[in-house]
Amino acid sequence: MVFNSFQFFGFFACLIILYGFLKEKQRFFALLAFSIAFFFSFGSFWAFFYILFTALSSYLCTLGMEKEGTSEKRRKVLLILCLLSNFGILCVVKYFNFFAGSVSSFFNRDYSDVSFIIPVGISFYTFQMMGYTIDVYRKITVPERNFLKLFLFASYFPQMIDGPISRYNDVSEKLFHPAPIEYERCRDALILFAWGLFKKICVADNLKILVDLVFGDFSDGHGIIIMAGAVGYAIYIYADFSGCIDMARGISSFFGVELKNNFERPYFAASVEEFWRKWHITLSLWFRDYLFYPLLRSNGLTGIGRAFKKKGFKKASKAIPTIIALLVVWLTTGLWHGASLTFVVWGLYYGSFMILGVLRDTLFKKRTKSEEEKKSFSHFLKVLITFVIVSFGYILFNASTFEQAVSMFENLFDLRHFIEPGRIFSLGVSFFKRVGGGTYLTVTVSSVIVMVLYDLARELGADPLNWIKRRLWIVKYVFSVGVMFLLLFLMNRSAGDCTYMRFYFLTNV
Amino acid sequence: MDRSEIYGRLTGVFRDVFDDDTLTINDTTTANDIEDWDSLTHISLLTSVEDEFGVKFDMKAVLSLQNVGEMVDLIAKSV
Repeated sequence: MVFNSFQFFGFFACLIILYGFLKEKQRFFALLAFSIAFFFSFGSFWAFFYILFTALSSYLCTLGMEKEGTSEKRRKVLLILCLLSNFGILCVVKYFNFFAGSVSSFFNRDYSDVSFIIPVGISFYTFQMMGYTIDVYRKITVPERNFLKLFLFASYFPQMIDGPISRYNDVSEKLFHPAPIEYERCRDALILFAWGLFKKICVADNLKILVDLVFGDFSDGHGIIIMAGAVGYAIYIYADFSGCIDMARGISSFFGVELKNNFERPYFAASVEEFWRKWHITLSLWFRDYLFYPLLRSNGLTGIGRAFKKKGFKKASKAIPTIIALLVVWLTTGLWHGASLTFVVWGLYYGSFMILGVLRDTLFKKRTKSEEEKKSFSHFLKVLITFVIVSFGYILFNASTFEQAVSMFENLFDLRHFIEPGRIFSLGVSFFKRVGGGTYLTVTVSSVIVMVLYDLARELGADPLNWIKRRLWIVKYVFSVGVMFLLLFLMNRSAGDCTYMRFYFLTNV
Repeated sequence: MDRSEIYGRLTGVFRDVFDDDTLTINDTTTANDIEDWDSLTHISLLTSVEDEFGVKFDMKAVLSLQNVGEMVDLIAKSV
């Protein structure tokens, strides 16, 4: 049951109607019950035991850590046990197929028919709960003594599909004491939800048709065609992922639980490092706090740094440990997104740019950019180059095999066939037909323009959604007509999944 | 060790890490005030501070330090 489906609208309407009549404590139980029901809507009964195990193991280990008289050594053992068992499960169910070939040859047996049930949101809730467990170990968070509360934190339905990855300290207070329905907050929440729905249905679902064509029937195309696929994918994945996050934040806001924003207009970034500070922010911060920092603080890497410093290589003492830690983090980020060679190489692709950034900062002094410079042509050029780097990265990200990605890269730079008028026309006709004709094409193009203009306005300091909120007639009439229009779109085709769902779960592999 | 002595030595560490001999710090200085102070250099800075004062910060401190003033308080408590 995805957010952009009539089933979800029915589910949510039932919850809101019931929720409106309940007292605070009852509201908590309603959220818990509906979160469990939402989880079950994705399939297997047995998948429930995975999330139950994760919540229960975190609950028991964190309580064990805080028990009076527990030694530091025992606290560490409990942490390691919890991390190993939960990441172990995640690795086995998610990455088994990736390693099945090696396992089969090692045991001289074919394991290709072995499959695991993978519950909805496993990558996501595992990261969230392990973050909580580590925070308790670090004494940043006081362990939760009520298991039901901790279970709601793990299974809270708005963030189940696509995140964001929440921190316990950020949401627990509001989540365990859900707010009553309040007009202004719900109006704003509805506007945010509708904006997310617009991006998902009008931009992402339509552009996906173009992307599927380029990466499918037209993957042997050259130059412009591959470029259209890469740029199309960049716009599509942003509309899809940020749209699903906006819907999640809007839904959660109904209950007074404000989830973190995962995007800060990433395509306006002027460097790859800046892009990753603006894209999938909660995942980047998770990797920073729970992997990158601990790696840099480890005895091994601090030892390397100190050794270089002792020998007088001051710059290398900072750069070398950072480069090693970045390599590990980006390899892990690649694997987190999926169990295939393309994701590993995609992680290393970004790791390389990050390392180049470290080398640049090591060799050249950073200079503060003035506001004027941010409006200059050279800044625009940097934004454009960053967008091109990110778009090319999507060829790796979306190619079905590594071989396909290599072949598409070769074709992209084949200047002799850069423009193929016949193939481009054929791609255009196929897209026109599959998208549903002129009306849908017009809606797609104008929706992309609206989305880009909105982000541009935000980048320049304006907030069009706030402007809309202040004008009640727009909310009442134009907005409701807009929502009706979106519903008509929904009725016309089956609901598309949120793409990032596939990084969190598949019903079966 | 009093705060002025800590500031004297800490300023030296900041100037060394950020390679800027004119850098000055005070209680309200944050990462936003120093261009090079990002998540990549944050740990290098803390490691240099630890080496200078012979202290060890835990991860809670690493993640929760809001400004230089808090860092000075933490050093004063640890030495």
